[in-house]
This record gives sequence, structure tokens and C-alpha cells, in this order.
Amino acid sequence: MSWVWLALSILSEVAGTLCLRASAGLQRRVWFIPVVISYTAAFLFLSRTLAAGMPLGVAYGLWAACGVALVCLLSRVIWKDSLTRRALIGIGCIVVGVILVEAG
Amino acid sequence: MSPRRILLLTGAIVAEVAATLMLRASVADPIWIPGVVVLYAAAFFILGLTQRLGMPLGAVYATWSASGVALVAVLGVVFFGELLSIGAIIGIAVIIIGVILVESGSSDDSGTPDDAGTPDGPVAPGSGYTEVTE
Repeated sequence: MSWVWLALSILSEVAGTLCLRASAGLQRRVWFIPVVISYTAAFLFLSRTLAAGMPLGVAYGLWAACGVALVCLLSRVIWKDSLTRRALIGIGCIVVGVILVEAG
Repeated sequence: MSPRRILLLTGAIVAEVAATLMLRASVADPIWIPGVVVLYAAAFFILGLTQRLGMPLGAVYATWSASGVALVAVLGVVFFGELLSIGAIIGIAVIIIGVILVESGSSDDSGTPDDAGTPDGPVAPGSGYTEVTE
């Protein structure tokens, strides 16, 4: 069950971050509402994940690493945000590094 | 990297790290909870401001998130006497390499802010928004 909560938490976090982008730097006020709801939901789902027995390091590592990868992927698909090959390799290193820190 | 980019990213990272450390401290003493809420809100707010400069979201989010993880791990040793495993130390090194690659491989205007409103739109960046967060 903890995996379901973690998946929901990651999806909420990614949605919140994409809404930050959609708000154009908090200038489109309508997007405030989904930003706040999404991040609040992300933290609540994360606390459910921990309550369901997943260790904090594992949960937080997967949460952060999957969040980074998904945000990168989706902002590329939705807004055609261009990232250089160097930046993409860097994001790959970051995902691996975060998992190592939290699982280590 | 422009000075504004460094300032915003640093501000967002510092707020998030402080919030996460307070979250840990609040387990023992709930007096920290208001600080946790305010600082997390500040972190996401500053993160939102980075989008006003048209910084690519994937790069900004990766740098912010990973720097937070690495700093919290290091400061956990300082404030809470935690120990870092070899794997965690290697992970921190890999994160640092990743952040350098991301930040040197992306520029402020490599995003496409045009379809998400003007980056320097109606409210000038740094005009009171930054005061709120500091």
C-alpha cells in the first residue's frame, strides 16, 4: 500500500511543479490554487507513505528522484523546454546521486 | 549563470534546507512546525519566481531538489549527529557533479517563456517579492 501512496505523492508533486511553470513565475494568479492543492496533497500522501511503513530515506529518495525526472520529461513534452545534452547527463547524475544519498 | 539566477536558486535551496531541518527538529518539539510551513511556502514561492526569468523548469527543479538532499544529508551530521554511509558520500559527490553539469549546460533563456507569459511581465522581479521571502 505504501507504494500506492508514494506514487500519488510523486504525481501530486510533479503536478504542483508544472503548475508553477504554467503560472509564469506566479504572475497568472489562477494557477496559485492548483499549486497549493498539489503540494499540500504531495506532503499528505508522503506522510501516508511513511505511516504505511516505507523507510524515510527510501521514500524521500524515490520521491525526489522520480520528481526530478518526470518534471524534466514533462516540461520538455508540454513546453518544448530545450535542455542541452550536458544538462540531461547532469540530471541523470542527480537522479542517481539522490537515490544513493537516501538509500545509503 | 546570471547573478539573479544564482540568487533565486540559492534562496530557494536555503529555504528548503532550513524547512527540512526544522521538520526533523519538530519531531522532538512541535514548536518548529510554523517555521516548517513558512519556509516550505517560501521555497516554492522563490522556485516560482525562477519561472519568471524563463529558466528551464527541468534544470531548475533538478538543481534545487538535489542540492537540498545533499545539504540536508551533510547538515544532519552537524545538527543531529547522524552518520553518512560510503554510499551517501558517493551520492553527494555525484549530485555535485550533476548540478555543475546542469547549471553549466543550461542558460536562462533556453526555456520558452513566450508561451507562458512575458518573463519580465507586470510585476518587476525583486520588487517586493524578494522582501517577503527574506
